[in-house]
Amino acid sequence: MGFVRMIEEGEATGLLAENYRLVSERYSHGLGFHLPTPELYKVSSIVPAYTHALSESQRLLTGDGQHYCESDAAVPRLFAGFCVAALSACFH
Amino acid sequence: MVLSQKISLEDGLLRAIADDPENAAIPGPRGAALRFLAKFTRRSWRIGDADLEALRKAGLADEDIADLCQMGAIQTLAVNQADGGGIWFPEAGGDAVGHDRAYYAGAQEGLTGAGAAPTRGRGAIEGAPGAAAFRIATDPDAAPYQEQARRAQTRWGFVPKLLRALSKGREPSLLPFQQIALELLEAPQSAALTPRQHALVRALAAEASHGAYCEPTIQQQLVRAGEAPAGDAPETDWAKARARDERDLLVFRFAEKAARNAYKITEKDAARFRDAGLGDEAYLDVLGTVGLQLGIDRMANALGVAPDAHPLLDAA
Repeated sequence: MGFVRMIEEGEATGLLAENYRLVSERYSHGLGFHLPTPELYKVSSIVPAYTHALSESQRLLTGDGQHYCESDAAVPRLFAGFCVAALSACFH
Repeated sequence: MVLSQKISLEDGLLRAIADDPENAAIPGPRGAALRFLAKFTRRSWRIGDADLEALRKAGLADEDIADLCQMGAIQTLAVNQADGGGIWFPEAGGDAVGHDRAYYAGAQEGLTGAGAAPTRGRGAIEGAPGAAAFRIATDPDAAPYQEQARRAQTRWGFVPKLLRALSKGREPSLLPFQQIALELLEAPQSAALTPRQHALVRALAAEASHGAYCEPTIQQQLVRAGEAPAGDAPETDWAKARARDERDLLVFRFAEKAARNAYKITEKDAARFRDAGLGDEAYLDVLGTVGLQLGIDRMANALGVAPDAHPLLDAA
């Protein structure tokens, strides 16, 4: 439950439904188990341009779902993301 | 901790960062990156050559620095959406690593509140018009950059300096996200927010991040919306001075909160939008606009990118 109305996966249509499907597929591929679309991607679902922006960021960060781990990098991207979240007092 | 295990980051490392991100004793390039990102997130307008040199000394190449900045901007939007949307880490009951949220709230307030003396980037416009001083190397021949440059040329008639400054990024490139961010910022993304409110929300967010990069665009948006250009040094209550009615004031106050202290957003903020007849769409549009604006400003501040000579508004 968030602060605003969110469109759930079963209700989504058009580009929003496509973004939900892609986000779930990319995570599921990387994690090795099915992961429904996380709520982070549903927050802005009634203004879907922002959902699309987040979906695009996930596409770029995961190589369209083909990779998830970057532990060999000096500073993995997800490490940087974690730092920014912690520094912002955001614990999602 | 499922995700941390998947990305092969030691749990202790993440815990140390979460416990005290400002002072975590992390060695090597990751420690240097953490210290840089602390400034990027909280005081990007104070980043200077010395900060980037510290990253290089820790072994980071300019590609890594460009990547850090882009990752920081992407995460800025994600944080904004999570805080403003009121969603929490589901497996930990709202507390992913078992620490005290209030501790961070206090720490961040001390860094982003009134005590932080602004050294606004506007001086960069006056001192060096049109001359970007990118702090990292660029690579105009990079294939991902070339592709993005073509798209930018088609949309705006020129390639923004910010994209040029980020041209030496890693593969896979994150540049398409920055292009999307700049495009989304051209207009409100819902009918619930007027172009004037959208432009003023951008101006408020830029004020919070001491960002000058988007100033020509925002000024143009304000003029198009029949609003006077934003002043250089607001001495009074800027939001109140610009508000034409209570709805305006609600929008601008929320924009300020989202830009400066997003962790303070509560369900009441969204309820106020509904009570005022603005609805969730306007709330989310303000939130998204602020998140994208902060990300762009932080990157431009960090990389020393001066404003473009022309507004970033669709030439078509």
